[in-house]
Amino acid sequence: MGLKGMISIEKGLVVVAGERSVLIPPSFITLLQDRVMKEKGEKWREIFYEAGKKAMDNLAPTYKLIMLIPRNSASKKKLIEELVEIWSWMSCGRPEVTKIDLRNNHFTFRVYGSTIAKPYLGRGEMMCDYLAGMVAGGFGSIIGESLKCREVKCIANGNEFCEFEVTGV
Amino acid sequence: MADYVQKKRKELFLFGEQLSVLDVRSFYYLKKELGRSVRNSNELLYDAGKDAVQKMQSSFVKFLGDSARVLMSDPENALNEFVEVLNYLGLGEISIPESGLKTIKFVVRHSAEAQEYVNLKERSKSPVCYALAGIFAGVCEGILQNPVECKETRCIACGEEVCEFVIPSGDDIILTRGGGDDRQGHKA
Ligand SMILES: [Zn+2]
Repeated sequence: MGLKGMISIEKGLVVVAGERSVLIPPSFITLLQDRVMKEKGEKWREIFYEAGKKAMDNLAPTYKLIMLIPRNSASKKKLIEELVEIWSWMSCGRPEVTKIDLRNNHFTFRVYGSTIAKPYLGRGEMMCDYLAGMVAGGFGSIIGESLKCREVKCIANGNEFCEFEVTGV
Repeated sequence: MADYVQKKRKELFLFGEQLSVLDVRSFYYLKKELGRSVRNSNELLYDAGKDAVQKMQSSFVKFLGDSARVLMSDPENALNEFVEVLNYLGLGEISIPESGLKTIKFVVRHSAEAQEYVNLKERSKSPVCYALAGIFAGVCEGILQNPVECKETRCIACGEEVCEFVIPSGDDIILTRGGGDDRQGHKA
């Protein structure tokens, strides 16, 4: 899908991948995370994971409709790759799916330059719980099963990229 | 005007700083999750909106240098210009129907923050656009160099036709006129 089809910025209306969207500085999310951390401690992770997951539980099924693949021949693998392609237009890092094992429900997903983790470089922790939730919800709704996702590498933890392991619940 | 937002490959930038895409449905679920789990989530969203737009204003000044400083020294122009920028961030169609000695009013059609309430036919008892209120407070505070509070007085999530935001105030507000509908063609 070309740039024109994927993103449209007009006065009063921004549409990305067929979804009405807002353009925000990543610091908007950072501030929310920091304040939730302050009040809730480690529970912030669960809160942002759930927010990301619920969003994708609801969105991914409609994304399926706009994907270019004819629906009758659409394999789940292809749909996952298309979803990741859509995410690559979110301007929050470069995503890549590196393993799709549908038989065992095991997936590996990477993001280079996560804008969620960038403000926390040097912190020594995984910080992309929101993205982890998105991946669990997004892949899960494509394959039609409940999945969980864990971040195992993060640029905020000193790794070169952020990496996520996705498995069945 | 639309090229305020710059595209570099798949990344978006405003005044040299990266912007991310948040679709309005994800925004809705984020707000709901925060509302469920933290105290004062509304205040939190207000502060995050305010902080984000103030950072935007400082990168605007850094990015444009002297011309930005000249603009910022003329409050009315600066306000119009910033509303024009905000109009390209997908927040909704923002206008300033009146600004004067006592109040500044913002009207937003199709608020991105409230749109999903309308889509889901979820009627709210009180206005829901806290991040937008924070954004307007931040814009005015940066321009007027004075603390201001912004309150949403009408909201599409409550069944109103538009969302309306009011910054009441005082003697400090010296903007003299609103542009109303003729704003459409402003500097386009
Ligand atoms: Zn509203």
